[in-house]
Amino acid sequence: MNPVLLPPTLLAQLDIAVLQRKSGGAFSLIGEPPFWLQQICPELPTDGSPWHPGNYLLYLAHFYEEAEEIWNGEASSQLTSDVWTEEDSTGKEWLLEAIAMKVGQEDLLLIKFPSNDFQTLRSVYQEARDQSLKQYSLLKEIDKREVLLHCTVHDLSAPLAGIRASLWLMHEDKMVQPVGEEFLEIGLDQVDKMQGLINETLTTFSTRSKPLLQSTANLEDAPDVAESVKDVTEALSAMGSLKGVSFRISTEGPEDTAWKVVGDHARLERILFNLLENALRHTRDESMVVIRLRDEGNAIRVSIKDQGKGVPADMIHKLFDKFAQGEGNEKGKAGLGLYFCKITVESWGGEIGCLPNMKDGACFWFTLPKAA
Amino acid sequence: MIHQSSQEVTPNLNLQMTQKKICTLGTSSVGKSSLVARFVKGIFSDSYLTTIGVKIDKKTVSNRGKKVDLLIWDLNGEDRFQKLSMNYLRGTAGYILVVDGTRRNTLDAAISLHHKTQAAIGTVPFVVLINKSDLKDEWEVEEADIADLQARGWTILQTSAKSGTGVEKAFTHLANKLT
Repeated sequence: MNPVLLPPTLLAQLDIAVLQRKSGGAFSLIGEPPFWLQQICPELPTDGSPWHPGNYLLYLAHFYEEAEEIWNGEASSQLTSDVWTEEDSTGKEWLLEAIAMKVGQEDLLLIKFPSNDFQTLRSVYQEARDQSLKQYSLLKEIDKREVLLHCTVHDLSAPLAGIRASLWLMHEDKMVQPVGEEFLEIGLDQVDKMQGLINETLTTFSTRSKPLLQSTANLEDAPDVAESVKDVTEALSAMGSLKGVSFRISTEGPEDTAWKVVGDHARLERILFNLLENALRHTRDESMVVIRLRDEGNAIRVSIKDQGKGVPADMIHKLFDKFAQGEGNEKGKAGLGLYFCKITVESWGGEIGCLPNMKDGACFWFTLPKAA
Repeated sequence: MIHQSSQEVTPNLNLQMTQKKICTLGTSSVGKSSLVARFVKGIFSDSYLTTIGVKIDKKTVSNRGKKVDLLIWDLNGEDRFQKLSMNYLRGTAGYILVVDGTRRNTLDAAISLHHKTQAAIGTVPFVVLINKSDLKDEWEVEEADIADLQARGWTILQTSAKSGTGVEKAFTHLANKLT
């Protein structure tokens, strides 16, 4: 390498700092320094005299340990660092990466902006995380309203019991004329029906009393997705038999795989119920719904494949939207089932989707992190 | 640019014996960068800028009567969008697990990160900060959760990067546990 052949401003114009390693861990800059380096290191010597960039760009001290292998010829010819952020004297942040290279006998250190468009990536992450926080707040709000509704329904019970007692006393003590007795019985009957509705609502709430977002990553309390699949398929087997549909469950992974995942047992079963019931409705008569569980290292992937018409490509992107419905609204559902699956799986750190271009049926899948 | 509480710059930081590298760990948006900014620069900003990779700051603290340079590695939050590179943890003397008190699932994420960190670098001192104590009315992390962790022998401290409450104490506490 002969740097004097290059225009001294070339590397600066390319926003790359090229440093040549000298003895004692010092480096000297080749050519002019790029603008960002001058901003971060105002004391940078520009006359080629040795300096210690690691004193200013602290991440480099960490990177040197790996770079030594390159400079000592013990590894391949170059190594790229992870990305790090530097802040200059004005508070502006610069995303950087370093490359250690051996060119001939020269040990070189290049510092530059990351190869990938990290600024764009950062704004995507930012937006995604903002949305994630908003979703969390929304779910908390839904939880609060559910609790409020629960309390309201519960509070209706007390006056209703009073009304019933009063009507019953009037009935028992024959306090009304025979002509009014019929209306009294209608009143008592309606009170009983209303109490039944309240009891039903309270029972529903008691099975869903855990906050929507509650989950656990604790191994002991974590739900076992394999067991949940077995339980839900058993619960749906009677419905399946009406159509002559059977379920097949297969697992893929090491023998000692623990199928425990982050989540809440009741809600995991509701997710599986929604997806399996969906498959059951859409698969053709006398067919099979296949559930595959796969150990993916840090996560468990569950896929549910039916043998129906499949999902049209233009429907896939809106399948998980609130109030989304299948083609032609043929099954008359409200369209909240898949939405529930999506917000719940994502709130547990997982992902959910539907495979595109499946010609012989639909294939829904979701992944959940393994419980630690 | 390094933010320092001391203006003294030594010729080569690699040769210093009193430097300790600590990392801040936690899922995204729990306030890791805000805690570091509060501790190092004494400032707080409401504008939230997600961290990519790592940002390193330095602050000199007193550890058992001796000055120690804390190199604070503020790492990107780990979530479904971005994973944490375990490579950043090499040489870590201790770490801070940050939890957002208003989001219970950030505690689970912190526990999971603790296990991953221990598997990667072994056992080193750490503290758990339950952040956003200025929003205590909205906390989902309960006293029972904190008591559970304390029963494991963990140090749990409550902080607010916004008001500054508990921040200095938290970093100093970890610094004093470093060997």
